[in-house]
Amino acid sequence: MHELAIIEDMFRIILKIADENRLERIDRVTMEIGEYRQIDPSVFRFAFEAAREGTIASDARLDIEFQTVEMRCEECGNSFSIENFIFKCPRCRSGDLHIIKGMDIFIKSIEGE
Amino acid sequence: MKNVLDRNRDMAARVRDILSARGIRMINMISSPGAGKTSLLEVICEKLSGEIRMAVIEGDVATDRDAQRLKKYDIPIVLINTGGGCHLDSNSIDIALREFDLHSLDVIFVENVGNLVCPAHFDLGENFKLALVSTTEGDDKPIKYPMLFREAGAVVLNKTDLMDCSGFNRQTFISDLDNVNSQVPLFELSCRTGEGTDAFMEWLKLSISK
Ligand SMILES: Nc1nc2c(ncn2[C@@H]2O[C@H](COP(=O)(O)OP(=O)(O)OP(=O)(O)O)[C@@H](O)[C@H]2O)c(=O)[nH]1
Ligand SMILES: [Mg+2]
Ligand SMILES: [Zn+2]
Repeated sequence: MHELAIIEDMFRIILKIADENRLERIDRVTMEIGEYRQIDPSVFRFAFEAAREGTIASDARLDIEFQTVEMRCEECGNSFSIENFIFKCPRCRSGDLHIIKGMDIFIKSIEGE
Repeated sequence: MKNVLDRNRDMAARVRDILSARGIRMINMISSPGAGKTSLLEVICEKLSGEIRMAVIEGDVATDRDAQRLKKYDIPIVLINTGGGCHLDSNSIDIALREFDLHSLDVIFVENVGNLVCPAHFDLGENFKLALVSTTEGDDKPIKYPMLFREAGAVVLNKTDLMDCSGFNRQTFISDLDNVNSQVPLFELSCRTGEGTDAFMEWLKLSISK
């Protein structure tokens, strides 16, 4: 359900960017979402459709690109993607890891005119 | 590219600055509804309120029931009703902090809204997240809700008095937790019988004074 709060903040940003760029209509928003954030795409879409109503994005399309979680092992320096949420280095089995990718929720692009 | 999480993160950084400038620690308690967050706070108040100056921020969807339960300990309590919201955010903490006298506190406990998913993703400016889980919820929580256990600075397994009758497999729980977060300390205790609570209090006192 944190999808709702995230959509709210996302709309604050896209409407501001549209305003700064003098867009009268937003046609498409592309998001890059890290899998660490456990965003359910159908809940996210539902919240997007509710939030866009009555705004200049009311007909906008939403594209989501998911980004896998990547970690670096502090023990052996190995970089790898997380599978099945097992946070262990596949090379040395260490659990001393550092996240390097897949934890952010980016607005990648906004299209409109 | 704009990161949607920045707004919450920036405010959390502000909260962290305000607290660290005054030497106050903050602990963000997260669990599913009924795992025992308020019960653990009651035990903490009983055992530590004489030696540590503490306050509580109660995040509740709609009621003040939990705040009422803690009233008898005579500590500062601020209630945040989220009005249906499934987690607290750093902005609501920033507002709540204005209600406290920050010159006379060592630690603030935040009881987050009962939920194993959403609160894990919103930094409140805490020093660490305390994940609570109880034996009656099943032994599969770390693997089903990995991000909370990954984010946690400590894990409490509560209701050990009910472990046998709820069919909780302790080995499964510990090995799943190890897969998700091999570095997090685990405390097994019962708020009902008091078993295991002394060891947790010792650790808690140390982590607050650090
Ligand atoms: N048997 C047993 N019951 C417990 C224990 N700890 C808490 N309980 C009971 O579990 C129930 C829920 O505990 P709470 O402390 O209210 O749980 P909570 O996490 O604060 O719940 P919410 O605020 O609704 O999310 C209460 O009836 C407690 O008395 C324990 O160690 N053993
Ligand atoms: Mg409670
Ligand atoms: Zn390694």
